[in-house]
Amino acid sequence: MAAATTTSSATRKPTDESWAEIGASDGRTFLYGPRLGRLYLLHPSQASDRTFLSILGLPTLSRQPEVADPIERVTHDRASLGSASADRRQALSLGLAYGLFQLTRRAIPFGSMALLARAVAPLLRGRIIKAGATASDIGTLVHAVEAQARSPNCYPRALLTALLAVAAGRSCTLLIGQLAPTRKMHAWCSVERELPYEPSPEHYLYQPLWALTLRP
Amino acid sequence: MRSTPSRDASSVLDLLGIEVHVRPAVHFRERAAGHGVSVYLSLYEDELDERAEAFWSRERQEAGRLPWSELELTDALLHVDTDGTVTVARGAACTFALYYSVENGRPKFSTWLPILQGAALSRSGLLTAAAGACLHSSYEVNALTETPLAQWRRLRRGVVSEFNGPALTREEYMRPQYEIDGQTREAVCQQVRSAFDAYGWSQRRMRSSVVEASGGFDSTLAASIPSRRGMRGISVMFPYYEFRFERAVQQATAEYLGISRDELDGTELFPYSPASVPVRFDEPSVFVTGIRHAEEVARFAARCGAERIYTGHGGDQCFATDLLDREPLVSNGLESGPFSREAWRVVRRAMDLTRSSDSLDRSLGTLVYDARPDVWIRETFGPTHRTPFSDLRVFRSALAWSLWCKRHHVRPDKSILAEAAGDLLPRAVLARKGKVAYDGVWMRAYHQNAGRIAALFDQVSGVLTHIGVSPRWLQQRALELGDWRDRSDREVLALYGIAFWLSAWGITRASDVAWED
Repeated sequence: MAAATTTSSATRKPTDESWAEIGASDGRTFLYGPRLGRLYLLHPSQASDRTFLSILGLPTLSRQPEVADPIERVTHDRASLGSASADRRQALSLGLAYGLFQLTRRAIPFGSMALLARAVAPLLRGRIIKAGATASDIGTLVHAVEAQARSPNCYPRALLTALLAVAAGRSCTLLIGQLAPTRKMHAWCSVERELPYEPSPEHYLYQPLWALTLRP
Repeated sequence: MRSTPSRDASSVLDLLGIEVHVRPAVHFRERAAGHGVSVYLSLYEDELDERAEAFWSRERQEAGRLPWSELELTDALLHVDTDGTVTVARGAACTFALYYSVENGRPKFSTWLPILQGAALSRSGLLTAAAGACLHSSYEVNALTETPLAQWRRLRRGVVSEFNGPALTREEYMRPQYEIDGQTREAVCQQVRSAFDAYGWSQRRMRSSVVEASGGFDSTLAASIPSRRGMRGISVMFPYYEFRFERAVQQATAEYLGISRDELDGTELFPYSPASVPVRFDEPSVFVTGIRHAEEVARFAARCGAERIYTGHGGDQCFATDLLDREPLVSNGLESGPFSREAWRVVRRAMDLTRSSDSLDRSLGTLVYDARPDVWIRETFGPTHRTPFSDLRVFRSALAWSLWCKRHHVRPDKSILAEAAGDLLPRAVLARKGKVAYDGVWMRAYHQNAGRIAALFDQVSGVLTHIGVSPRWLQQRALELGDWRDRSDREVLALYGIAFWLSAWGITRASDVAWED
């Protein structure tokens, strides 16, 4: 089983990507292509074509037999946080980021947006979130932002979690999973093996297809 | 295996000239009082005397007024007054159907439909069943009373229906009474606990039973009765990613309950897998998609000599749903694709009536428990299904929980069960990650059974065409679903229920039966 997070050599890199395929039991294969942010159902010949995979954004070097879900604990869910809230300045800035993630999901692929979030995260340190903030602090903030969101969902939640984690100086791993063989997808973010906030825990149903580790 | 009663041996009761046909799976007690005759009906023979007596003693307390709100949700009561008025109350989660027809100027009642006995079929009755199946999943359609037989109507669940002469003159929903003593969470908690204690006591006569143990709160509580002598657990297991934590939780639950546990291979029980015994329901239902699962669990129970199969059905509906709200129904209704214009008009009307129906008020309890398979299981294999969540006291405690949550602006969840009955639940259940979604299982089921589904539509294509449904459209859609294509399965699901019913009764050509519309 391949770890989705780090190896000793990888810890030196700012990001680390891994991906795997899921068999569809009819010989075909499900793959998530981060270049366009889409799920593909491919015949075996396509799934082993290096050039084609590279076009989808899946370098062969990052291929793993399986991407493991690193989550060992969900820090907060809706029931545990109730009506907790963030201060106005935090809620406004993070609400804008959340809205931006949501708004651009059709235009900017998930992986690219994650890298962008990593790039801007240091600007937030000390302003929106303190250095060394815990998974619990991050989860509380994400919950407060989602409480104000019009249509909360996993996509902006995962990116916002990653943004806050890197801003707090922590490594995190973004994951995209599938409830195979349906087309249902889920995104979540592991912060040192914890999932800071998921309103109703469901990530464990989704088999990871792709993982991207971001380091501060 | 216990004796399995056949509906051919049904009893015919004569209540002051009113005929009532009662199939052997349904047990009854009659009582004559000064103002008429009553019959109390229930699927649970061992609990019948207590239930009927509790109802009638309340009637005595209320000076002869029938206390409808005290009727157990799974039962029914029929009262014929000396002045000729007939009043029928069907519990909101009634485990058997109750139909009526008018003959010689009087209503006649039956717990089964006389299919293939000369009665004409109704096209709109069949199409209505499809619409209901689409919106309600497998719940019996309560907003509409049409049946596949043109001259027979179904009595609504959760309703008191009154007949004067041949005419149905009044229908009124029975609202379960509930309250919160002192309005504290502790009071609700006590109410929940005492309801489960009462349920446990009601099961004291069981000597042999099976629990369908999923490892969740609900089935564990269903099995948490004081006497578990002779109880065995059965679980269905799938070798898929999303089910990877299930076995450990189920094993821990069985150990905690002190019962043995057997496993069934879920890949052999996929939705749409055929049963190995004839399945003839009175009305079409999408429940038949899960018939193989129900059959194998019931067969296991029968082999063990079990009198009862405990399940946790209704637990989510009672405790993790706001019972003071309306049921939203499915968002993606039927498409007009497979229907002729005339048939679509009937379906759309049925869907509109369902959406606007009072029965979607969850506090009535009509969407708590889907009892479709109960009579079939009893008559085919012997045991009766039983869940605590269709008990009136449990449902009332759930209503109190919803009310408490509303007052405190929180969503109802099962934390109240953990609080009220935590000692009955092992740690593995309390720490379980959550329910497993069956979406992947359904997709695989279409992949495995698409050819069979298409063949069934082909088998009854003449009748489907007669009622205004295109078998070719349905076959095409079934094959697309089987090829992992991202399509809605609503139409296939709903009309599979119709096709299965027609095939089960041997109605494969429109000319096989008479039609009234």
